[in-house]
Amino acid sequence: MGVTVLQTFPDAFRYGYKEVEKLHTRIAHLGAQPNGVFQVDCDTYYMNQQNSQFNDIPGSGSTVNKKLHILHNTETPASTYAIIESPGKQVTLCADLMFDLLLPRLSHMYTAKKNLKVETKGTRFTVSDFIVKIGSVSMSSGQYKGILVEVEYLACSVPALCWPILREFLQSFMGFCVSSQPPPYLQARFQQVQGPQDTMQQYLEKFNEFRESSAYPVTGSLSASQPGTTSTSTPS
Amino acid sequence: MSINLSVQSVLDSIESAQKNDIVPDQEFVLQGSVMDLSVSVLLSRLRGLCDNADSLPETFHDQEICFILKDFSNPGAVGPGTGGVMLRVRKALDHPELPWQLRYTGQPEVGNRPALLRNCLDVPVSSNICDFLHELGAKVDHEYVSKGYIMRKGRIKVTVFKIFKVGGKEVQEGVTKSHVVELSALTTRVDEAIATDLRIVADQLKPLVNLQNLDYRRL
Amino acid sequence: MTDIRLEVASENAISEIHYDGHEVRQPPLSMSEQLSQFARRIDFSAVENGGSDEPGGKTGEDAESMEDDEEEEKPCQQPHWPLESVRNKIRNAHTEICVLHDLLQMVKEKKYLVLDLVQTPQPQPKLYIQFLSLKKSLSNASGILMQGAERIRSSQSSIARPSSDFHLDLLRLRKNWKLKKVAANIVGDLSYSAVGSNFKHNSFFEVTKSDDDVTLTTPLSALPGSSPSIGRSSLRVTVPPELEGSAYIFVCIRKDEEDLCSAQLNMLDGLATLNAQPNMSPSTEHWQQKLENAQNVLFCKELFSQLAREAVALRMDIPPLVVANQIAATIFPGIHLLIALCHSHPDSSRSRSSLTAPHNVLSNGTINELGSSSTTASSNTSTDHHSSSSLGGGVSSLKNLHDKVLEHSLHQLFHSYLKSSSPMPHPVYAPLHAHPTRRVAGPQGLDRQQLMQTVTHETLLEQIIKEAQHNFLRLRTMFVIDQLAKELKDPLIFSHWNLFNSPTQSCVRINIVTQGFDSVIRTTLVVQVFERSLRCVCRDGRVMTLSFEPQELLNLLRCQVAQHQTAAVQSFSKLMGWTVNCSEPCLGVGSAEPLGSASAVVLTSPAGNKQILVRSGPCTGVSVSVAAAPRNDFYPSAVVHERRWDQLPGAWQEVRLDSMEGRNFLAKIELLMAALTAQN
Repeated sequence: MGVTVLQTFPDAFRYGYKEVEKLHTRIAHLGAQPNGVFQVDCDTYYMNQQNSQFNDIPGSGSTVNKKLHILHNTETPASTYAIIESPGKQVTLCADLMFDLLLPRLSHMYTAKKNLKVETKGTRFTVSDFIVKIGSVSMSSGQYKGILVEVEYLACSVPALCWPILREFLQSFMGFCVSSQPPPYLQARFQQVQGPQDTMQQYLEKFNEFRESSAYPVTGSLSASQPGTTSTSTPS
Repeated sequence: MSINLSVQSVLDSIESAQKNDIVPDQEFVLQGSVMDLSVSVLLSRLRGLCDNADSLPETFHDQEICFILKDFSNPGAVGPGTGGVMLRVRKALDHPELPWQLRYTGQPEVGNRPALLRNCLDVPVSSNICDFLHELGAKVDHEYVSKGYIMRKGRIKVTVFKIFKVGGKEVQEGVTKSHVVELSALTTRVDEAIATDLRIVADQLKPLVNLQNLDYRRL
Repeated sequence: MTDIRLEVASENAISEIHYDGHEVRQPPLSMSEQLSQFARRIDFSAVENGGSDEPGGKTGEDAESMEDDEEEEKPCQQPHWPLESVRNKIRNAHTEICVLHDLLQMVKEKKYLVLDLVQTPQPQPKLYIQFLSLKKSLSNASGILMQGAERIRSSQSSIARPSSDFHLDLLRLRKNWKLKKVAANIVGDLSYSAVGSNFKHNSFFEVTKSDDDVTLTTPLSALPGSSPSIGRSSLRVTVPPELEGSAYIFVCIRKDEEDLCSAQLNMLDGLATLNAQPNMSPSTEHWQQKLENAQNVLFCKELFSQLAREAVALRMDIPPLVVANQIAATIFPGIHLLIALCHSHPDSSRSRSSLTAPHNVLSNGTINELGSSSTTASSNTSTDHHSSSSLGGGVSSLKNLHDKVLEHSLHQLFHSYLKSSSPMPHPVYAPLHAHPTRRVAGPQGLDRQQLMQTVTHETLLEQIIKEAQHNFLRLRTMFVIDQLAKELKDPLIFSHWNLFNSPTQSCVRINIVTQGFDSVIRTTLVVQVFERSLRCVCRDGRVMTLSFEPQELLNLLRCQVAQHQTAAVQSFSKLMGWTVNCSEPCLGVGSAEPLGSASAVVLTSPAGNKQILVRSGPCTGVSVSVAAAPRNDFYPSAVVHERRWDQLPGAWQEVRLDSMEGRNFLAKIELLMAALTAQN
C-alpha cells in the first residue's frame, strides 16, 4: 500500500465528461495505460433524530448529531469502511464486507439518508509506479458534482518521503490547481505509514466537501462535516 | 468466494448475494456442558468423531466483550424494539495478529427443529472496533475469556471451552466447574439439512454429554 | 358337578309357532314342577363315583350308577312320581351308611373282624433290564457332561489363540479402521474423508464373522502393520467389488514412442507389497491386507479423478487430453507426460480387460510388462523394466527407466494433496472453511490482486507437469553435458550434480580443465535447471537464461570450451615467461564461426623474437601459428634505437598440432613454447 493523494480537479463550468477526457489525454501523454475501472461509494447514516435531540451520549458528554459513513472501494473488494463522525472525533473501522449485512440490525439507532449517497466512478491508469484514478463524482440522483483524481505512489508508504515526487507528478498533468503544500489530511500524518483506510478517509473528506457545495436542503448540522481530525491546518 | 471483476458496485454484489440466499447468515447450535473431570474423555471421543483424528485438537484462547447498542437515554421504554442489539467482539489472545471478530446473533427462531436456529453474522474487523462501538453509542455489557479446544467435522464446528472471568491476575478464575460443549454450523437461509447432521453428532456423544436445543428466552 | 341355574329364565319356552308368526308359550311352571325339574337334573352318578374310595364297594356302586345312567338315558320313561329317583338314591345311600356303620363298629371291637393288608404278589424284578436302563441313563448323563466340557474347552482354547476370536479381531480392526454399527451389520469406511477428501465413491466395507472353522493357512509374514502370529482370522471383510485387486498410478514421460522415465505410485510402500502375494485368492487374504489394498485402490481412483478434473480445467497451449484412464499432457514439443490409472482385478480375466486400456494407447510393451508383473508376479520388482532408451541415439542403455527420484517427489505431492486443509479459525467465531487470507482480507483492505492470489492456487496436475518438465529437462541437460564430455577429449568436462534440494530445481556445476594442467586454469560455470529454462552463471559473472532447447546449452558449452583454451594459454604463458601481446575473446577477423565467435591470443617469447598466435573457435577448433623475427642480433641505428622495434615478426606459419607430441593441447603449447624459447 503506497501513499495516496486525492485531488479535486476544478470544473467550474461543469463540463464534466469533457474535462475528464482532457485529463485522460494528458495522462496518456505520460505513458499511462488504462487498467480497468473503479468506483468508490459512500452512504451516510444519521443517528435517529428523536434520540439525538434529547440525548447526550455517555462518554462524549455532549449532545451530538453523529453520522455513520459506510464506504466501499472496488480496489479493496472484500472490505467495508465504516467511519463514525462526531465533532472532533472520527473513528474508522475496516471491516469485512459482511458488515453491510449488520447495518439493518442497527436501524433502531441509525437510519440511512438515501439521497446523500455519493459515488465516484472512472477509469484507472497505471504509470509505472503510479496508479491514477480519474473519477467523476455524482450523487445517487445522478447529479454531477465534480472530478476527483486519486494518485497512488506504490513505492513508498510514508508521505514525508515521497511528497515532492507526488506533487511533481500531480502538477505534471493537472497544472497548478495542485498546491505545493501537501493536503491537510496528509500533513497531519506526514510521518506515518499509510493504509487503505487513509485513502477512504480522504475520500470521505472530499465527498463531504462536494455535498456541502450542493444545494441540498440539509440540516445545519452538516456544517460540522468538515472532518475535524486532530490537525487544524487550513485547507489549501 | 467470487471476485467480481466488473465495476459493479460492491454493495450491489452483496445485496444480490443476500437476495439469492447464498450468504451463510443462519446458524444451527446445540449446546451442553460437561464437568471438568470428564473433559478428557469427551475430547478423546471427539477426536475419534471429528476430522484430522491423527492430530491433537487445536486450542484457543479468546476474549469476548459484549456490547449493547440501544437508546440508553430512554430507560423507560421496554419492548422488543427498544431492547437493543447485542454485539459481541472477540479477539484471539493467542493469535494477536489475526483480525477481531464482531458477531451479531439474533433471537432463536421458533419452530421445531433438531437444533436451535438463529440469525448470525460474523464480521472480521480491525482492532479499533471497541473504540468504534463506543463512539457508535454502545455500552459494554460484560466480558469474559474462553479457553478450550476447537475441532471440526465437515461443516460442523465443535468447541469445548471453559469460561473464565477477566482479571488482571495471572491465575484466572473459572466461572463454573464445567466446560461448555457447543456444536454449531453456519448455513444459508434455505439449507437446513445440516441440522440433522448436527443432531447425529450430538447423539453420538450421548452418554458423555447431552447436547440440547437450548432456548435462552426461558432462562 | 352339574351347575344349577338359579335365575329364572326370562321367558317361558315356546311350545308352538303359528303360521302367522304368533308364538304360543308354555304356561309357567308351578313350584312343584320346578322342583321336580331341578331334581331331575341332579346327577348322582358323579357324586357316587367321586365319593367311592373303597375298591370293594366300587363294583356294586358302578352297577347301580350304570342303572341310574340307563334310567337317565331314557328321558321318555316318566318316573312314577317326580322325586322317585331322588328317593331311590337317598335310600341307597342310607343303606350303605348303615352297612358302613355296622362294619366300623365290628372292626372297632376287634373281636370278630380284623382289618389286615392284602398281600398282592409282587412281580419278580428283572435285574438285566434294570441294568440296561441304568446304563442308558448314565451314558446320557455322561454325554451331556462331555458336551459341556467340550464347549468349555473350545472357549478356553479360543482364548488361548486370540487370533481366532472374533471380538479380539474386531478390536484390532477398530484400532486402524473406522467402524460403525448399522442395524445388525458392522460397516467400516475406507475413505479419506477424515483428512479432507470429498471423493464420492462407495467406500464402505462390511465386517462379518467367518463361519468356517477350517483353519486357513494364510501366509502372513509379509503383512505390514499387523501382528505376525495371526494364523487365521474369524473376521471376514467384504469390500466393494470395484475396490478389489491392486491399483497404481503410472506416470511416464515419453518422447515419440519411447519412454524416457517412468514412475509408479500407490499408497502401499512400493510395488513389493503389491506383488508379494499374487497367487492368493481374495478369500484367503487377511483382512488387514485386503483393506489396505482396497484403500489403495480407492486412493488411486480418487487421485486419478482429481487429476482428470484438473486436466479438463487446465489451460495450456496444448490442452491435456483425458482418454479413458489416461491423461496425456504435452510438456515440451514432442515430449508427453502420461498419467494412467492401472487397476487389476484379482481374477485374471478382468485384469486383462482393465490393463489393456493403457497399452493400446501407449503401444509399448513396457506398460504391458509392468501390468502383467503386478498380476501374475512373473518378475517381481520394477527394476526389471529398463529398456535401452536413447535420447537422440546414444544414452547408455543401462540407464534405469524407473525414476525413483520422480517417483518420490510425486509421492510427496500426492500425499500432501490429502493433507491440505484450511487452518482452524481464531477467534473461534470466524467461519470455518474460509481461506485464511480471506479472513484477514476485509480488515486489512487487501486489494484485488492479493485476493486473487488466494483463489488461484497451483493445481496438482500443474505441479506434476512442472516436476515432469524439470525431470525431463534435467535428464536432457545431463545428457547434453555427458555427450559433450564424451566427444571432447582435450579439455576435460566434469559435472557435479546437486539434485535433491527441490523437485523443480537442480543445479550442476561444470568444470572445464585440461588434464595435467588443472592447477593452471579451471573454467567453471554453474547451470541451474528449472522447469522450462536453464540459467547459466559463468565464471566472469555473466548470467544467461537459456530455453529448454538442448542446442542452446551445447552452443554455450562449446563457446566456453573455446574460451577455456585461450584462457589456458594466457595463464600458462605467465608460467613460461611469455608475454601476452593481445588477447581478444571475440575475434572480429578471420573466417566467421558458424556459432559464437572465435577468441585469439598472441604471445611473445621472453626474448621477443618469437610469437605464437592461438585462435580458438567453438566449431573450428584450435589453430596455432608461429612467427619469428628474422634476425637474432641487433644493432641500434638512428631509426630503430631499441631492440624490440627491430624484431618485427615475419609471416605466420601454422603449426600442425596433430602431428606434435603431447597428450593435449596445452602440453603441445608447452612444448612449442619451450622449443621456441630454446632457439634463442
